[in-house]
Amino acid sequence: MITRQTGDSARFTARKEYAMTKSPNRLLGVIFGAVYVLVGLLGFTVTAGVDFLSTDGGLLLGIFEVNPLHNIAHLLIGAALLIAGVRGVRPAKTVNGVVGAAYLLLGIIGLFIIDSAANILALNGADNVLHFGSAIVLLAVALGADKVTAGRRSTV
Amino acid sequence: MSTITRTWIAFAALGTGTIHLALVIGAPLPLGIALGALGVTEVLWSLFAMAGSRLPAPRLALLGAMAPIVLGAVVLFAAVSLDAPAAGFRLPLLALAITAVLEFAIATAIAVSLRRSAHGAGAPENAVPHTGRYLVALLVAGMAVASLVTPALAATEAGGAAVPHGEHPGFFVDNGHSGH
Repeated sequence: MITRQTGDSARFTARKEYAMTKSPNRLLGVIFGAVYVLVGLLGFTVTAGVDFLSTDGGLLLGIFEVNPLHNIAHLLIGAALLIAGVRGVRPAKTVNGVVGAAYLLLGIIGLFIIDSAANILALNGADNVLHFGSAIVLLAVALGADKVTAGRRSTV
Repeated sequence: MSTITRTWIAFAALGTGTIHLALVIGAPLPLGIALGALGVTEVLWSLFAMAGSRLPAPRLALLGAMAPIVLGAVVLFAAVSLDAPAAGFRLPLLALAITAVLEFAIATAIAVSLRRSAHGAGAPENAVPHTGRYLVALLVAGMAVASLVTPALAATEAGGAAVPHGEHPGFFVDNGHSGH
């Protein structure tokens, strides 16, 4: 009976600690996910008539260049971040780390393909700034927050 | 040192590491090797700083942040003094300037932190900030570093590959002394 009470108490404490507003990974995943899904949807409003893999896309908010493939990538990445954030700390931490690493790579590779035929995402300079910024924030939160140490969890 | 400050320093180190790695393209071989080694070290150090609970080897990192600035200044001074800009190298000035700014920020933050901890002051190790404040601080710093690093990376690409060799502006501005 005592063991059961202790277990329930631990589970309650864990549930409280893992609440969305207390977990940087979950909160960031949900916020970034929602923003990227929104950006993906809005992207289609400026890419009417743009070829799927065109290197010259439409300008979203007058700044960020996108084409239909770029919009779909935003939708998929946004959905992955959003779903992982809603599901829990561990999936949020994993997806934030993977997306962060992928964006860091894209932010660097993007610089070298801007004016080439390989620019199938229609990347421009503003896209690269956003990708690099998103990458380091996602990586930092995935690596540095929601650590479990010796049975005691620290949110940051 | 607070978690937020440590992460800001890691952001700056990741930025300088990435720029140093990009500078390898177009650099002479010995310099390219040194820049590559420096870049890899900075990127790894930044990842350990993000993942760990304190900055790895802070005193060594302080020296590591200052060394490229001092070496760059010495090379610049020597090349100008000897009136031999060709002895220099063709590295984009913008990228070097932004790297120096980030390295100076890293060195200053580490030095202040070391000084405070020596006096028993400053934020306690692993102080847990409020989740919202933590994320806002990271977002602001992340976008600030990205807006510095991206033009620097673009400049390295422009200097190393986009402009035909011998036609791009080098480390020194032509001041009309080339005919000497």
